[in-house]
Amino acid sequence: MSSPDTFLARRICQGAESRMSFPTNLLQALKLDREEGTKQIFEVLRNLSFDGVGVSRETYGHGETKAIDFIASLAVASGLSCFADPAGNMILECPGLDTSLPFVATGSHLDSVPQGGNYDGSAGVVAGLLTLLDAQQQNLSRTLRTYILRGEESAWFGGPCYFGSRAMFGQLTDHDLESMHRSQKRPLRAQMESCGIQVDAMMEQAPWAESHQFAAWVELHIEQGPVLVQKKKPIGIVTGIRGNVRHRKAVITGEAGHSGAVPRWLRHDAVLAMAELMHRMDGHWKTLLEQGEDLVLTFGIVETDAKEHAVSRIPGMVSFSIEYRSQDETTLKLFGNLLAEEAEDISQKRKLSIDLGDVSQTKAAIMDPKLVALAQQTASDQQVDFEIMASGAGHDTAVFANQNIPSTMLFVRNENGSHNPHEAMDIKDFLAASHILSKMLCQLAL
Amino acid sequence: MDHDAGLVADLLLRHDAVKIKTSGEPFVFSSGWASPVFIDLKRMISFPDARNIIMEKTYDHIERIFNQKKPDMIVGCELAGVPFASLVADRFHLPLVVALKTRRGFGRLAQFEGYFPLNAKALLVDDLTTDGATKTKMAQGLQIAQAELLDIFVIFAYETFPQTATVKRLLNLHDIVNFARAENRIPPHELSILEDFLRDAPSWSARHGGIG
Repeated sequence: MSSPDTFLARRICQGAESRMSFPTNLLQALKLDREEGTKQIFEVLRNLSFDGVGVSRETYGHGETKAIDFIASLAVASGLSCFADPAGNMILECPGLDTSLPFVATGSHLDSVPQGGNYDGSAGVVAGLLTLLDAQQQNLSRTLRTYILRGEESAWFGGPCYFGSRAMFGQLTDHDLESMHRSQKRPLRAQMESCGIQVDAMMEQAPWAESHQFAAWVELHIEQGPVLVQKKKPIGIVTGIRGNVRHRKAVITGEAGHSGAVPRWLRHDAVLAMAELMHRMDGHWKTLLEQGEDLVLTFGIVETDAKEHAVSRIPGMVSFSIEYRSQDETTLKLFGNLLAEEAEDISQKRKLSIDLGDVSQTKAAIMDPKLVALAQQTASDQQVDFEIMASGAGHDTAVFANQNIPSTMLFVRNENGSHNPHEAMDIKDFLAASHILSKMLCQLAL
Repeated sequence: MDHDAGLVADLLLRHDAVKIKTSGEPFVFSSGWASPVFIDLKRMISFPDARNIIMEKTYDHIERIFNQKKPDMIVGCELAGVPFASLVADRFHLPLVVALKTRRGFGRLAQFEGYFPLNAKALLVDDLTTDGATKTKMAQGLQIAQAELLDIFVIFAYETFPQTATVKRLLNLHDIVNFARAENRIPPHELSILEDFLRDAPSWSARHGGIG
C-alpha cells in the first residue's frame, strides 16, 4: 500500500515531468529577469484557477491541488527536493551542510476564498520558492524549507481552519473532519480523501512535526488591511497575530406584535435588544481602545426571518454573528465575560432570551522579538521603508508561534483589501519583501 | 410641613420645574411608570439664585447625615446628579467620583470616572429618584468596585411608587402638592388630578397605560 506521502509525491513528479518544458522556460525567465519571471509565475497561478471573476482555489479542492502541482513542478525542475506530508502539505527543501541542525522554514497557503484574489497566500509560497533558489547558490549549514500549507481559508469549511498546519502538530480533531463544506454536500474528511489523503492514517501519524525541528518560521503575506497603503510603506513587520472569538449565530427571542398597538413597556423587541447589545459592546470597545487595549469587533451578519418580518411587525426574533479579535488572550477572555454580562442584563431588562450560540476560537500569537529585530535590521540594510504592525487577519504562522517556534511575518503592501478579486500588489514591493525574506532566512541558516 | 421642603417647592414651582399634564398622554418614565406630573429638577442648575438656596438646604441636610457617618467620597450619578454632587464635594472638600449608568471596559472601576481606593465609604448623590431602580444599579456598581455605600441623597423623591432603594431627600411629591394647595399655586383641576394620583400612584399608572 502506498502511503499518502509517496502517492502525492509521485503524482507531483509525473505532473512535473509532463510540464517539464513549461517550468524550464519559466525558470529561464526567472534567471534572466526575476521581475519578469515572477510576474509570469503569478500569471500562471491566476490562469490555473480563474473563475470568471477572481480566483477560486478551494480548500483541499482541485484548484488548490493544481496550484500546488505547478509550484512543485518548478521546484523539481530547479533541482530542489520536494515531498508531501500525510496532510498533503507540500514541502520544498534545499538541504543544508549539516542536516542534523534544526531547519529554517517559510511558507504559506495556496487555497483562496471563492472569487478571491491571486496573491493571498501565493505571494508567500512564491517568495519561499525564490528564497530556496537563492539558498541553492550558497553553502548554508542549515536546511531551508518552504511549506505549501493546505486549507488555510475558513471560507470553505468554517473556522478555525488552518487544517494543514494544525494537522502537522496533531491539532486536527474529529470535529474538524466533520465540518461541512459551504455547499453542505460533504464534510472535510471526504474532501481530503478526494485528493488522496488517507485520513485515518494521517490522524494516526500525527503529530509528525515537532517544534524543536524548526529553528525559525517566517511567513510572507500580502497585507489584508489598508495600513501600508495609507502609510505609504512597501512592507510591514508583524509583532503579533490577533486571535479571534466567533459566535456564528447568536439568537434573540422576544415576542412579535403589532407595531402600532403595543406600548413600549410591554414590548419584547428582539432587534432593539440586539441593537442595545451592539451599542453597549461598541461603547466598551471604544473605552478599551482609550485604555490601550488591542481589539476589533464586528457584527457581520444580521438576519430577521424574511418569511415573517414586516415593516409593521415588532420583530420577535433576530439572529446575528459576533466576532472580536485581539493580540491579547486576556483581553479576549475579559471581553467575552463582558459580552455575556451585557447579554444577561439586557435579557432581564427587556424580558427576552439571548442565546449567544456556539463559540469557536483561534488563539492569538506573539511574534519572536529577535526575529522582528532581524527583519527590521535586514529591511534597513536594504533601505526598504517598513511599518511595525499587528496582523488583524489570522495566519498559519499563529499555529507555528503557538508551538513555541520563533516566528514572524512580513507583509507586502496591497491595495483594495483582500478576499476579493481586486487585490493589487506591486511586483516591486513583492520583490523587495521577498528579498528581505531570503536575506533573513539565509542569515539564519548560515 | 417641613419649612425647607416648602421653600424648595416654591422655587421649583416658580422656575417651571413642576410639569403637569391634565389631558392627552401622561408622562411615562424610563422605569415604565405613568404619571401626570414630572419634576424637571436638572432645570434648576441654570438659575444660580434658586440653585444657591437649594444647595444651602442640601448642605444642611447632608451635614446631618455626616454627624452620624462621614463618607470618604461623594459619588454623583450620571448625568443630572453630577452638577449637584460636584457642588457637595466642593463644599465639604471631599473626593468626587462619577458613577456611570453602565460599566465601560474592564476592571474594578469600569463603572466610574475618577478614583477611589478599596473599601472607600460613599455618599451617592443624584437629582431625583422615581422608584430607585437606577440607585440600585449604582449601588451594585459600588459593590463590584468594593466600596461601601453609606447613604443615598437626592434632592427630590417622588415616593409614590414602590421603592427598591431607601434614600434621604429634601422633599417629595406630597410636599410640593401640599405647598401648592396651601399657597393656591396650582389650578384646582390640576390639583385634583395630582391628589387622585397621590392616593394610589400604581393604579393611576396602570389606568393610564403604564406599569401597574
